[in-house]
Amino acid sequence: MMKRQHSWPLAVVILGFFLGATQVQSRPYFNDQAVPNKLEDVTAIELALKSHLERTREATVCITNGAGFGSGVIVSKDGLVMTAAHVTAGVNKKFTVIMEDGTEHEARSLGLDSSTDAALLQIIDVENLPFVEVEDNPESEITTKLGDWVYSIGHSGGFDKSRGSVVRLGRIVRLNNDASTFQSDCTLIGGDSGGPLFNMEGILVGIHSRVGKVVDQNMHVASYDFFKKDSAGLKKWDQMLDSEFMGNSRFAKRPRQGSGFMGIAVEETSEGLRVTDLDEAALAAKEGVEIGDLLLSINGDKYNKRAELASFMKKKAEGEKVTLKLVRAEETLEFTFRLEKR
Amino acid sequence: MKNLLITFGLMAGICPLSLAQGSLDSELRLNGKKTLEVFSAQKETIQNSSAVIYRGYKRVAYGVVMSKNGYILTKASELEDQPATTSEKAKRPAVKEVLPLSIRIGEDKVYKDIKVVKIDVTWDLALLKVDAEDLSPVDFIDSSELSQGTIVISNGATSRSERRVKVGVISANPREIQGPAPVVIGVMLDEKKAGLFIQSTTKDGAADEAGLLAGDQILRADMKTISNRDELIEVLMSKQPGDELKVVYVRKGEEVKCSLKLMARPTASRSRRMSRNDFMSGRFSRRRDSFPRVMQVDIPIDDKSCGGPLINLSGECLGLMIARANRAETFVIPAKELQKVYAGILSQEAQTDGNKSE
Repeated sequence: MMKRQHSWPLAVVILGFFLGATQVQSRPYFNDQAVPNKLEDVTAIELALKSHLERTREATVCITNGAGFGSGVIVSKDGLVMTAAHVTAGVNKKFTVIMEDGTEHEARSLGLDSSTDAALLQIIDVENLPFVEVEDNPESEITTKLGDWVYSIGHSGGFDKSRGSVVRLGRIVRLNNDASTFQSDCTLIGGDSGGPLFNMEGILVGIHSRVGKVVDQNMHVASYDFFKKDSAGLKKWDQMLDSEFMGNSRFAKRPRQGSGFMGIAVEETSEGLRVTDLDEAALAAKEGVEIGDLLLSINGDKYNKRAELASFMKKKAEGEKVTLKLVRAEETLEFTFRLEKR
Repeated sequence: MKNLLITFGLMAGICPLSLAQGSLDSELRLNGKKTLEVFSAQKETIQNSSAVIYRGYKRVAYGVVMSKNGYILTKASELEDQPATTSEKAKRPAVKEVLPLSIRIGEDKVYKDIKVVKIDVTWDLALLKVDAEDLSPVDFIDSSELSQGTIVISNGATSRSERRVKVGVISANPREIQGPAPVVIGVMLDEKKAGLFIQSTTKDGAADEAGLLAGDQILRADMKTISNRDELIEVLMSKQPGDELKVVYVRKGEEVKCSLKLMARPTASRSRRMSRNDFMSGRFSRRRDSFPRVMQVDIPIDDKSCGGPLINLSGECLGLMIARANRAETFVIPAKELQKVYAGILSQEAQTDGNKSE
């Protein structure tokens, strides 16, 4: 009788433990220890880090615009780079990406989220780059947990060929409620911003965002945040690929209203606004707008007066998307492009 | 036993979930108290084979115990009499006393009679000697092939009797850290198309003492032809204070030979201009450049915690913690180079002693 009473709760607990164990199957065991108990645990952490270091370091890059330095990590073989919004600080800006071996590539910034400090950058016309895969996990599968062992890589203080990028060991020391950002005690400094944080399975879990006031508290934007959906169901990743400037927060300043440039001149006619001149170097001309085209609508709205168009442009900033509907020889044409800088 | 199993099962299954949000206790972080408990064997090595160096009551550096009979290597520039901060000046306005050095090793060994055997400005090393017989010197191991990510241990905080440790990893490629030459000749230079000229001389500097004047053109240094600043600096890089530099200069169309006695670059004269990264780096070393070769680790120490040994998990010594460069970077002189400097000084000393006794 006694025996029976005893074995029931044990069976339940063992079952619970078993389920727990299968759920966290790929998690290294040391992540679930409060601290390493034996030197073998320390060695296990060291071995895990070393087994992923070379591959992950190759994908880590220095990003510079000549004036400042940041870091980033290549996530596709054709050169898509994840970095921080305060590193690119804007959309469609020119950068140089420096690989670990010193090779330089041209790059342009894509979209960003200035509220979480996430950004994408595209290396131009280079194939077969070293890269790490990034996982598009739904929130229910966020695996990063408090206390997980992690390592950071970055070009601390800028590119230094003889030094190479710098690796640092640490743990996740704070998780924020929405899982978009977290902190680690990997020591960071200026120049590391935008660089990658990996867990001990070699999976990219975050991007360095801010250096903390104290040395053992530094902020990262979670990889998960890059794939979050907004209230309209749009994925942040897709919007960044489409060069969208999201959020209006401290990490990147929005271009001011009125800074957008379309590059067309119009006259008022009885039928509406007609294109009379084009800036050949501007996007409207390159996209195929021609002199004589009749402007039917912009972003779905009809404009009949030049003053109305001027006040529309006063509200538009560089990088904003416009869709022009035009009539040419009784044919309706549609052009969509992003405004350039005036 | 069954109860133990139950507890373990619960912890493994539930603990990570309950920790899903919030903050990790500071004791559990990489350099937290509880994390460091696993390094008890390494702590023992640090306890016995590192020295704590005080000036007056203040700790200024750690040191590496090199021999049973009391040779200790440490960071030289931290032994210099430090300029008082403004607040200290206010407290002690007129008194300018150089406090004596003292050293603690292990739990209770205290040494007050310290001989500064030699200062090597190239590496910023000082060899000290205390009168001892049975110290535990470090065991060196060649660290040149160690891969990045290797876990390493150094001195952390200390009480009078107990050393503590800090942990980190080897974090970048070993390399030279460039910087100004460790010696100076005491001139402002003017680089012209026609060659390298002296713009002005520092009073009582090496050049001034040798009779050099503003307007003189430096033609050769130690037989090497000099046409610009970099060529002169290259000659100076391998020099120690007190070394001679043979200079040929041109004055009023005539070549003149002279010999300069080189002086050490004062640590205080090193650039104090703070970069943005320096401002977030806390207390870093005043001398953190001009090292022929260093390894790099991520152990977060401060300027007064340099000079001690870096050891691996087996307790073997990989080098000497020579500089806190900034918040993310700490420099270490590799074991091989350290042993070479040490052997060099000892053989020099033996020669000098031999000459004395003749």
